[in-house]
Amino acid sequence: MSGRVSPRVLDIMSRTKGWVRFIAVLMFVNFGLTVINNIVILNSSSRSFGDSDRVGQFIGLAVMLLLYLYPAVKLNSYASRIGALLQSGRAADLDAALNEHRAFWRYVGIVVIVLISIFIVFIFFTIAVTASRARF
Amino acid sequence: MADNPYEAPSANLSGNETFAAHTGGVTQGVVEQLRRTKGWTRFISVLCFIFGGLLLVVAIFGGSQLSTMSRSVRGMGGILGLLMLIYGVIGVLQLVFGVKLGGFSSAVQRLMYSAQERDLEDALDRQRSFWVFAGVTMLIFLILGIVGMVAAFSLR
Repeated sequence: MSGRVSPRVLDIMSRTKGWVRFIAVLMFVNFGLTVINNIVILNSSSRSFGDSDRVGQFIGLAVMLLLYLYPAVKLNSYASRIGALLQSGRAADLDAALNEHRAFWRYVGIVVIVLISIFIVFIFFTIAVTASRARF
Repeated sequence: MADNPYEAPSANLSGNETFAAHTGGVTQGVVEQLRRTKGWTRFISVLCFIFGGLLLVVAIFGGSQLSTMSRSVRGMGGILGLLMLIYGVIGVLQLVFGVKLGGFSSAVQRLMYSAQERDLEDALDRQRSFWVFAGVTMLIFLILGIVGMVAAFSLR
């Protein structure tokens, strides 16, 4: 049967869907709790936070949350596409599901490369500062 | 006979008869998606091996240093020992993640050359295994976190 997915593949994907959806939901919940927690902290009446500190914390928080939110969306989409595949059994739906899966891993790979690059730059900067201080 | 009569024809670029027959879901599109995923999962797998290995080395080295310390310094051993244990556990988890992702990448590599239904099933089963492991790990950490919070709250 052309364009149809084998029953074994459908079985494998059906057993994948639940766990992927679970992980996506946990990531969404983590995102929500982190937003609430940081809003509470930023709105605290503590005198230790100046305005610049709050802005910096807000920007850092926004970046961190975006890093969590996009992969959660991709994983949720992957689970949804698997659901569509299980309904139709068509190879085109398997293609669409694996496209979401690919997008997730591409995003994770790019984020890891960026973080490693920042880390390496930070190390070189620290070494340079330490070396220049040692001279003087 | 095609399911969708209005579907655009696809060229069998590899010349592989399985692609032309579209058996069991082994289509050009599916293999192409997996091919484009393989590089990223292989990259993450290698990083998991490196990071997991480093954590295990730190855990083993830290543990062995702890055991050679004098008794007075070892007063802090409980906390440091727990830290080394946590490093060891995370290191092992990273290695397992690396093995599973690496296995998926290798299975996709085989699929690219064979275009066989069994290799597609193997690749998809390996990615399923990764997600199951990731899900179970997150579930365990979630339960430990809840237990920790309840214990901390009850000790107040």
